[in-house]
Amino acid sequence: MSWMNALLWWQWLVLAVVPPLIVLLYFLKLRRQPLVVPSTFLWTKTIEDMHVNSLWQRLRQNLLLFLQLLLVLLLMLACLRPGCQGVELQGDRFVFLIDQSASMSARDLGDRTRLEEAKLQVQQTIKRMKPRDVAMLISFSDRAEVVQSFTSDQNLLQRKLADVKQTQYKSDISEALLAASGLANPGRTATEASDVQVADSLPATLMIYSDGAVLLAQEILLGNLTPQYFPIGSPETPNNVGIVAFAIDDEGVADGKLEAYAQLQNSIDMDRQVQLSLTVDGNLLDAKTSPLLKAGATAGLSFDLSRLLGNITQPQRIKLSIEESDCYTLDNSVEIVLNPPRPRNVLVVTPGNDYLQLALQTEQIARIAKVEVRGRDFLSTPEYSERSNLGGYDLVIFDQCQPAVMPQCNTVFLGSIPNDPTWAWGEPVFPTAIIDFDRSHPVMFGVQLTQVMIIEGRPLTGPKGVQSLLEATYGSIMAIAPRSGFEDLVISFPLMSADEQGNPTINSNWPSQLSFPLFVSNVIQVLGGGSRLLAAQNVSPGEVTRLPMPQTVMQVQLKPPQGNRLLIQRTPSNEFVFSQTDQVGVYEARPSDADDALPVLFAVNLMDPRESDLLVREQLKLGDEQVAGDRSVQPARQEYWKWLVMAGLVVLVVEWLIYNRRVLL
Amino acid sequence: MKPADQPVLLTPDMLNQLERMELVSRKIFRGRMKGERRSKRKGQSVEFADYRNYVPGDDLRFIDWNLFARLDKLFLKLFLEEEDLHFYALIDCSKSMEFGSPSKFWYAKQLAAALGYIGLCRSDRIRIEPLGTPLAMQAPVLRGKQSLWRMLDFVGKLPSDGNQSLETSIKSFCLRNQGKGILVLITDLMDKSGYEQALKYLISRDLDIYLIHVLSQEEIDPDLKGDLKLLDAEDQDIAEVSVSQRLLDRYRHTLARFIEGAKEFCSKRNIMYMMTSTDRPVDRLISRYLRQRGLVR
Repeated sequence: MSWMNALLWWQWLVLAVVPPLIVLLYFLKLRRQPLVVPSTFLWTKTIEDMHVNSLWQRLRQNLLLFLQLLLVLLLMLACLRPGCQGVELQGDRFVFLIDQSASMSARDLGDRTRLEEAKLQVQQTIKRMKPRDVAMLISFSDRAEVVQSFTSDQNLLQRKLADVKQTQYKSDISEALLAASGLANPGRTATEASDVQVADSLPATLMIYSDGAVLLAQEILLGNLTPQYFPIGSPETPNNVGIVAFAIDDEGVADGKLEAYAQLQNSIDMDRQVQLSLTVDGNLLDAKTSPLLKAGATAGLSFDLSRLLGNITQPQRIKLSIEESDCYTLDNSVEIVLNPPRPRNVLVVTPGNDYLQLALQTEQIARIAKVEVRGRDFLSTPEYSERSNLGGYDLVIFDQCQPAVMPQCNTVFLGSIPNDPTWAWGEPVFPTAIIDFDRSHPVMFGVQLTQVMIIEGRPLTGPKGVQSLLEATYGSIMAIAPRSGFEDLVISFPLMSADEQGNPTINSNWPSQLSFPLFVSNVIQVLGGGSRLLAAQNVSPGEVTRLPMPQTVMQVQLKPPQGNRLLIQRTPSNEFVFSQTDQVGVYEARPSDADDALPVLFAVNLMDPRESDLLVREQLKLGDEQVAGDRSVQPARQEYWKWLVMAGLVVLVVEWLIYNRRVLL
Repeated sequence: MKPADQPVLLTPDMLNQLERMELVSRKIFRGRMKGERRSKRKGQSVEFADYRNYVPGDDLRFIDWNLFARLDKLFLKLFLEEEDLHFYALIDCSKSMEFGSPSKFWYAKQLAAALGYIGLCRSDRIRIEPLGTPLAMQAPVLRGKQSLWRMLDFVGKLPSDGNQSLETSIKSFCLRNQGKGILVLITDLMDKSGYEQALKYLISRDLDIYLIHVLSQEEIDPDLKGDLKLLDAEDQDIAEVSVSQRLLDRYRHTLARFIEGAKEFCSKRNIMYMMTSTDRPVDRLISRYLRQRGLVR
């Protein structure tokens, strides 16, 4: 039996005054009601009889008083919080970090998930806190949330703990550690007399409840934080085979080939094979047995989807599922979306450029794009304005010309720059010698420019985020920059120019090089819509995504995999931005005023090898510090104060009965 | 209570019932006037009592001439005399009698009126006297059924404002009334100076005494709870009590002892004692209980 003082000294003082007060009030008999009776003759005789006092009679007469005193005594005892068998926490400030990432939904501890087990352990730990200890609750996945800032209110902590929900996000502990260290290690300290101390440096115990499958994206200085790691999950290797990658290769669509690739990960300590099924809109398309998955290894397999190609008229849901169930179901199925293929619409506005037109007429480009060539006058026509604003083009190539308003699509400027103050170019420079080019960018894939000569070029500067693709001696002459969800590729030198008489002259020998049609092909494939045309984009849980919607649509109705439909308004930056990608599955968006319109689908999938690897890490590496896991469960303190309060209530009821009902005692 | 709200003391049904009864004395007293009751004195009724020798001066009408013819001696025939009966009803008018529902005072008045009416019907000499009030001096002596309304009027107007002790009141009664007869004392005996001395005064008068001890149901089984300051209605005395089951039990015990004490005191002194509750109807009390005890028949 041990005691914990729950009151301050002055509160005890107030409580100590209560019993004498009760006795005083009892003897003052303030509540005696006057009542006229025929005669006090018999009553006086009765009282006289009773006043032949034995001690026991006196005690019995004062029973109500003793009951009241007993009640106060019980309450005082309850305030001392008697209890036993508890192990007190060391320290007085605690930060509880609770992992709520996807892997914490694994049920490898019987009926409970790892998160439920973590919450249970935190609950027990909170009970072990001393009355004046303070604690803070932080839940984290790939983001952190301060569920409850420092408080000594244990009931509040318990309530907030119950609010911590399971997420399907990845795991990154960095933000949670930053939040925790914010108070323990204030960023600013007073070094001079005139400095204002923002916060005191207060040491705290950092208690991390996680399965250890966390990423530490940045180095965090723990400083005053003393970390303790409590591994959550079965110490044995959990039974889990999961899909960690699933993608569709639509590069061969032009040749009538469509394939899907999947990667499986086995986190069991034994070799295993699983049955997989592939469904399209719920209809089974293929079923396979996976290759033998070695313990802790991954293996890939592919599915031929070519027979779908002729039939895709609307977005299709492709779902790959593992037939066997295990303790972690989130990675047992993956769903992606296949959009119907359509040719890219490419507009070329040029005063006449035979080389460019020739490069656009290759057989490969003819298969994937529909190229429309127009003169500069077309830019001033209503047809151009409408189609460029309503997303009628996937790519517009401006050859030595400039539109008044930038179109709602990707653009390529050849010998000109966008009509945007963020873009600028210098005076023509002769000669122009190429010194470097960026081979890593997709539009430069396989393009060899070492033999290219340019007569006259101009140095380019672009907006924030601009990436130079081709560098001359005086600066960048080819650059690409983002623009509200689109990309603008600017080439500052024209392929053709005109002499003083207006006769066309050659400005570069690039069109005669093999690299030019290759470059044009890359531009059409990458900027003309790229791989998104067939396989819809895949989004990670919690990731912000932009919905590709026509310009005329002002409001979008979005149906998540579970729950009610949501309405999304167009943002001031003229986009449909959706951030509530909390659930794994396929989201369906369509204009809110056109229910019969073809929906835009996109899939949210976790597919994270770290989350699928359910092996509980017995050590956690936080920067340079290795924190060993502590699996010992300390018993929480058994409190008896509730029983004392209950007994007090019983005493109160008995006193009430005696007072009102004259119970024979 | 306003006169208009006062219930009738004796209802016609009760009057019919009472007319058939008569007061019975355990003793034979000498009356003052000729009545319907046998007297100790020899008189002129038709009922033969005895013979005695003739002495000069005796009324010659009562000489038994048949006996003279046989024995040649003069004997005088003696007949029993029929006289009236003195009936006194003493009502305790102290403030303590005002309690109960119906009040003990009302009950006492009704009982006195009922017994008085029985006496009036038998031409007895009736006197209903309130104890402890100045009206005691004005209590009329009633006789004959025609005095019913005077009796009811007098009894109905009696106030319960007596401020004298029972002993003083009865002593005063005894000094003023020398007649023998039946006396019914109707009281709650709640007199802190005691009732014993008062009863001794009555005993000394050699009356046929009946003590009707009236208690209200609230006194017999008090419905009290909590911490109370009890105020005596008569002398404003205060008794502070914390009501508990034990206290109530103790009170009932004290009351029982008090009743037992009064009963014992009375029985030792040839006083007929009877305790009644105001819950018991007066007509039932008379026709059953007082008949059993021989006051009426």
